[in-house]
Amino acid sequence: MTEVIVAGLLNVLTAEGLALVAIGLLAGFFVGVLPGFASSNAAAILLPFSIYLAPEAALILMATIYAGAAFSGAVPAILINVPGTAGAAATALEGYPMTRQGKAEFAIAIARMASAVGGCIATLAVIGFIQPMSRVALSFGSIEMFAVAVIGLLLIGVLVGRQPLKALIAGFLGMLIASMSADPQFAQPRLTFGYIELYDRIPFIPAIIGLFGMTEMLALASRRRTLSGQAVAYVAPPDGMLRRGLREVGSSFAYLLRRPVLTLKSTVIGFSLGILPGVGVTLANFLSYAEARRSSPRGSNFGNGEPDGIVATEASDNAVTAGTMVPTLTLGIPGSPTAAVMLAALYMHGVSVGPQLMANYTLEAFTVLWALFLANLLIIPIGLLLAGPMASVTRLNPLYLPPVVIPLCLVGAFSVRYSLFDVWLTLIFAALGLLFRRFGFPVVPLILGMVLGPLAEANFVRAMLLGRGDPAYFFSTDLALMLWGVAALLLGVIVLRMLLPAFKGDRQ
Amino acid sequence: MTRTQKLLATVPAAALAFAAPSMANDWPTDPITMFVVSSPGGGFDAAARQPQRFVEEALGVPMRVENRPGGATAVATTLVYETGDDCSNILMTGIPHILFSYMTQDVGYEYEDFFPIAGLTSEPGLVRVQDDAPWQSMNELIDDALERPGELIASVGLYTNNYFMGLLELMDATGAEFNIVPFGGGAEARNALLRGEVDFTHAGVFNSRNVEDGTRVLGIHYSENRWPEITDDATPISEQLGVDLSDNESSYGVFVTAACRENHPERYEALVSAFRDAKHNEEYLAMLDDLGELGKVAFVEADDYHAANLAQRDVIAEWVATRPEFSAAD
Repeated sequence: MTEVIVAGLLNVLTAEGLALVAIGLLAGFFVGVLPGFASSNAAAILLPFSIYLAPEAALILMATIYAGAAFSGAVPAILINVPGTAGAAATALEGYPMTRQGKAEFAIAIARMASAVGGCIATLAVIGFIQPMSRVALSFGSIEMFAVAVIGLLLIGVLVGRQPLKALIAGFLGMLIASMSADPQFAQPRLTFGYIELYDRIPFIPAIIGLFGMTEMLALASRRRTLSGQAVAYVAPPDGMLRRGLREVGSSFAYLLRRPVLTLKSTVIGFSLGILPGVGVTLANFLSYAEARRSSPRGSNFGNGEPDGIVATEASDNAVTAGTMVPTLTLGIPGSPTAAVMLAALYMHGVSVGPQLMANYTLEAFTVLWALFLANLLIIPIGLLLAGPMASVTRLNPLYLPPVVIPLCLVGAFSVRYSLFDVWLTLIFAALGLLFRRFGFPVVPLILGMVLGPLAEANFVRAMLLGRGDPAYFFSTDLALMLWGVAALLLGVIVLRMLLPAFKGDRQ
Repeated sequence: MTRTQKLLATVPAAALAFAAPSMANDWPTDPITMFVVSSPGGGFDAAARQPQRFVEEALGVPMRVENRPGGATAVATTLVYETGDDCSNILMTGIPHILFSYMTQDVGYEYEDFFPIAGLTSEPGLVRVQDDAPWQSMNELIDDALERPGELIASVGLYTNNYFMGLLELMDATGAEFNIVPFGGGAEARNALLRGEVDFTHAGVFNSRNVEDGTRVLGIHYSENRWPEITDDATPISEQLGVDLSDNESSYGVFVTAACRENHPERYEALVSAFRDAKHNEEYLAMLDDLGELGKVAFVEADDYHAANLAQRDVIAEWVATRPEFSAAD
């Protein structure tokens, strides 16, 4: 096994391999900063051409696009509160407040370093332990996945903050919105209002673009009086950007070194959820964010531009990318939309994807994993060189942002499925985001509800069918019992937290 | 751009212009688009992209392949139904998918609104169990199911595919009762078998090859086994059990709207002959052979495919009207 791992590395360390990594990474950076234009779209565009490339070359390109986009999606999230990718939605929660405090460059540097470190650690873990991990991924059946969804829902409780009722309302509204689809068993429409586009649930990217980017731009456009004050915050001096960038690399690395537990924990959360098919990057990043907020001594600063939040989401983001390679390469189940396109490329090259892929195409698989590792490593230098052009947006007067960003958001929403319906959806979510902001409802529980509702429902219904309606079936495996234990622990923490202030109050 | 560059730029276009008159009519002059009912990756997408450049060669214009997943195939189907009357937008979908789509969902089209260009590939059904499963034949599996009604669990991708129909037919023919659980997709259904969440799965001969390590084939849901080398040389289920079963298969085909065929018969014929030419293209066949997918190709001429689809439509219509699995969802 060691020989083939080394051979995979040598495959990437050729002139052609390195060139492909650099091209893929740059392409990933480019598509990542465009809101809505997901890395899966870029990979899908490559698909017809990939038949002319060797299979590993096509996969190197796609994997590195994936890694590049995973980082660069954070850049517009930080600078203008428009997540370039669904995974960057959580990054906007801390990144954008930092920009408004004039710390945009440091926020991007933290994101870049956390992405690189999280991505590299997780990819090395995949390279070292892909076989045992595939068994873990396979062992998650319907009851285990339902337990994972319940754990996620309980984590909304951690994010509740000071307004539990509003957070609960937002969470349930998210689940209600997610139930606008065909039901997972009989494919019968529910709350689709006759729109065929809603049969597969509300598409996530238009929702995210609407809730974050559009809402922010509309709010910005409506706050004339504060514009001049904000303009000061946005300004980043153009001179000495590279020198400052190098300094930020040093300070961001030092920042991560001072937070080894946070970095590692976020990487593990992203990676663990990444290897479970169907969980998705958004949930992983929000859970990582929630855990960072729960455990950080500076938890109260979360939401006001706390760099720890960016470390948590970005380390998780790139770790998810590596994690999704496990079910993709070992089970033939794409861990993400980009991974699905990678499987299509393999399929077109006559590679039968599935559990025997790692046995029959070991060298190709390790080549791709090393390319992913290298791409994550190169995020630091290439990201640094591109930091100048990327951060140039910070020199814009915010007055000019809405007319530029709003069309960009709408084009991004359109480009996911080339659907005008999604553009309308973005506008509706923008209106919802404005209402949430106006009445002080938190947006994170809404997103978690949208992500977790369908995961919980599909697996609950399937488990009920498998167990023929017997509730004991939910506790029939050791793994499920362990996960229920974690859920019970979380519930206990939440209840204790709710009761503790009341208890203290009684004693006083 | 200099004049020389402009002249050079016209060369490929001129070459295509000279190539085009070899067709029976001047259409198409612009690119056509094939809409695929699923995301990139998977069976539908491969069935669309594999012949793509050979169809382009035959048509003389580019053919874009665009994925429009969603609505259990209804999104792409609706799109072509609404925009395909000039024949420039065509549809890659499957049987029984398009039939279930309008019989179980509230959509604006029905099968008669489309007409096939050709059937391209076929995926016959089979029954797979884990390697260490106690059953060595379909008879043993059915005997066990008869002794324990509803206890044996079978996985399928969806309630609306031919594998689910295959299991219903098997239950009707033998009196056995299975607990059939849909997993939302073929890959998930097959992996449920690998992890022992279900007792067996009804899946495709080719699609289920990715779980051949760790599983074995108990029987082929087809009148003869034409794929012995990839199906453990399993005997047809009907032969093992001594019952009559129909050939269980899903097929992927290319369709135009009925209005395209009626109003522009020459365009329709151009499409039919392009797909027919692609099917005979030596390079295409060699590529499929390299992929090990030659056995999956089941090119069926439009009229024959249409007749088979109409017969299938009647069977499914009766099932949808009478089976509790479908009426329960109303």
